[in-house]
Amino acid sequence: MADQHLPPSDHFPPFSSAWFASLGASLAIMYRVIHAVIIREARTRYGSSNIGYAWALIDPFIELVVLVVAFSLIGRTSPIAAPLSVFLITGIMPFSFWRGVVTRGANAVSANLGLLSYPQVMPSDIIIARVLLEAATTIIVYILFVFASLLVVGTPIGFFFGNPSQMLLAMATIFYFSTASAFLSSGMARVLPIWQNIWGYLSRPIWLLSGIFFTLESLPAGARAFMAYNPVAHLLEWFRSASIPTFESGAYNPLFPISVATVFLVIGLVIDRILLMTGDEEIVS
Amino acid sequence: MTIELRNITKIYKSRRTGRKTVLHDINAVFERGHSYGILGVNGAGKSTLLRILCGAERPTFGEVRKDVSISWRLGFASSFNSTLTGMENLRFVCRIYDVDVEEVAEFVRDFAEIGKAIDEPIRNYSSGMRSRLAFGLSMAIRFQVYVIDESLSVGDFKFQEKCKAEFEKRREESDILLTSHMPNMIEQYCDRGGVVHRGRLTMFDSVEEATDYYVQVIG
Repeated sequence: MADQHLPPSDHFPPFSSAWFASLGASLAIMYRVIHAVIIREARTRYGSSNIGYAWALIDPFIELVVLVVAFSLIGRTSPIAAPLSVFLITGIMPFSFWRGVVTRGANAVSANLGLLSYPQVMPSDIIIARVLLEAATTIIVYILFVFASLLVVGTPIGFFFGNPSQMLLAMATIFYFSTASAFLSSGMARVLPIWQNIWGYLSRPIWLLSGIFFTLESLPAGARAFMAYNPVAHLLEWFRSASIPTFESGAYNPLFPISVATVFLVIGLVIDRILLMTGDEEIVS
Repeated sequence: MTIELRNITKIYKSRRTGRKTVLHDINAVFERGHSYGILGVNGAGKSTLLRILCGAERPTFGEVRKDVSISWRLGFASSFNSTLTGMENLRFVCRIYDVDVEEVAEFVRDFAEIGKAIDEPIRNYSSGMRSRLAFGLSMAIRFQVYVIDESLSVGDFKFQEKCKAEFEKRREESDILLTSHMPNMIEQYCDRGGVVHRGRLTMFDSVEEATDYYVQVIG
């Protein structure tokens, strides 16, 4: 028999054995649902077109080519002591991960109303599944880029993995920040249908201002003080400092994006909770 | 106790028409071992009540308590992704309900009569095939309560006979919760009844009493 009838954990006194058993059962269901949604999303997102998964690669690749061409047209070189491709890839990848996750978070609920009619599927499961899928894709694409630069322009792999432990920390923080942004984006889209359009316009200036093609360090003091309000710029600067062995920036503060992410996450979760409690979601059929 | 509704109120908000209270403070208990039929005219709130019962929707106020597994509405196909194949959609449902894919697939292939089409994308299905797949899938998973919304009745006469036979077989282990606006549908399957009228639910110990009340309020 399908076992979806266990009472929720708030029916038991906290930390009692029944409470733990119920919590464990809920987590097992959540794991199953997220796993199932990841597979489904991977199929629907990449499986339906003929080149499928290649799109995930082509997208950041085009951005890279455009920026390389733009840099050479205006006669600029890499602003740091590393090849231009290294500099750009380490900026493009974390940024497109974050932007992708916010965009996918915005319609996570509206595109899956049918799924949400299964009682065990929660909006948060869909958001988490989408973030995990995007993260896995980004890591694969990053590694492909690293090998491509080695083969095509002979960039040593070491240029991309300067300080692995710092890199992991930076990646974990980018992941946390992006997950929180996805929850906020989803919440915004659920209460404000126009959010998807707003985000479309918002993401363009953020792309310009997040330090994909400059470093915070290289900015004059006035501009840098202004840029310091952009948490994404901190994350990019940190990720570059960690991954590029010849670049060390003092212009970022990890605590700032972490605090902003926590605020985003709390707002996103509160909106989700309120909508769940009042049941004010449009449901199909 | 099987399913208990406590002070269920459902309010829909619409930008054009404002607030509309669809269900008013509903209290009811559905006991294990009995099959219930809910009567009501179109727009009385039956479908909303059913969606809340099976967890597809949450009430604005009140709570649903249950200690049985409840199916989704039989034949409900909106959760299918039309670009995925029947088999892929089936696997998804098996994963979230933690049941064996092979067993379910075998049952569905046989019961839903869709044969090789199970490996085709759902968008190539006729609406009949789509709901037969959905229906077969919900029958393949062993639920303790099966929920049927009459507006979703599927298939031709032969298929409906088949469904009825399958329900007969399940009588021992599973109950049925059915909504309809026709008392004779309820009489076929259920031994207890209820009437939803203008968002209020009245429960009766027999289908006859429910039918009498229903005829009285609509007449």
